[in-house]
Amino acid sequence: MAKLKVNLDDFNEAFEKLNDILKNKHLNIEVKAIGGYAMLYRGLRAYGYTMDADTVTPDYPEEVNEIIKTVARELDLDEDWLNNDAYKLPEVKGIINLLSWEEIGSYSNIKMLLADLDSLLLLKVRAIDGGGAIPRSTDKSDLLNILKFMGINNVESVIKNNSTKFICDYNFCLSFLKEKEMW
Amino acid sequence: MLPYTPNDEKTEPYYMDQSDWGINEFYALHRYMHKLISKRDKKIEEIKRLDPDKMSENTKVLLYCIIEYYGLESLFELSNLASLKDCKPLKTPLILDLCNANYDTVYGKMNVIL
Repeated sequence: MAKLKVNLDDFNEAFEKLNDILKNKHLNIEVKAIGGYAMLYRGLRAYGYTMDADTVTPDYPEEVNEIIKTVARELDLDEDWLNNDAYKLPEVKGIINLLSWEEIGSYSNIKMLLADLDSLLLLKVRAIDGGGAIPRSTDKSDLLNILKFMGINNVESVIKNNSTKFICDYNFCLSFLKEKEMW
Repeated sequence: MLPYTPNDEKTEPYYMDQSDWGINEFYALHRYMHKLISKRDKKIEEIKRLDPDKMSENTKVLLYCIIEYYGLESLFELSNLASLKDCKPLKTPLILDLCNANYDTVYGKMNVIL
């Protein structure tokens, strides 16, 4: 049944189970994690709020998808607890090559890559800018929390800081930050 | 009678007892319901089973905000969700996040700080 809050142990359990089955079937996959799981792993959140891991990788073979569903059934998770929905979004697909990854974990049959902080920031900025008049209601607060985590608490610092001044190229997002001024 | 049952591992997040909840728990609930509505194509059966009578006022308002924010008023046509249209702004602000990034949206109007 759904948990309200999940932590890294919950994700680790799921990935370990997934790895065990992949190993038995002599299958290997790559996971390029962004979103909530990545933010959880990097300490941007104390715990996650939905048990799903977003990977920006092409579709897995059907056999792998069935294994992911098997893990879901065994651990009472959503069928799409590991999904690549984000990979198909224009605001993500357009910058895949600009993202930087860190290899984490020690799974024999899962190459686990995690987006770095700058990449998570870029993705969130693009999500807000690409969301148009109705960006996801959660993205704005996520962006502000990432900036706070980076020690950036006002729009002036965003504009001056080398890691964040790229946001000036994203008008909608910049307008939002200017409106906030400080956070 | 309480509109929601004591929490155990089988209690869905939107029916949980909220008497000892803080910002983090309500934020978690919002993310959970946000995902539910975002993935309504796959989750429609769960949405059709939602029972606002078993939810707290805070939960009902959150669900209302999510549906309204994304212009999904057609969900109010479901018989189980029709009563959400009568939601009123909360008397006490419900704080989900201290960023207050959505003050000029339906969240702000319903006194939800996100």
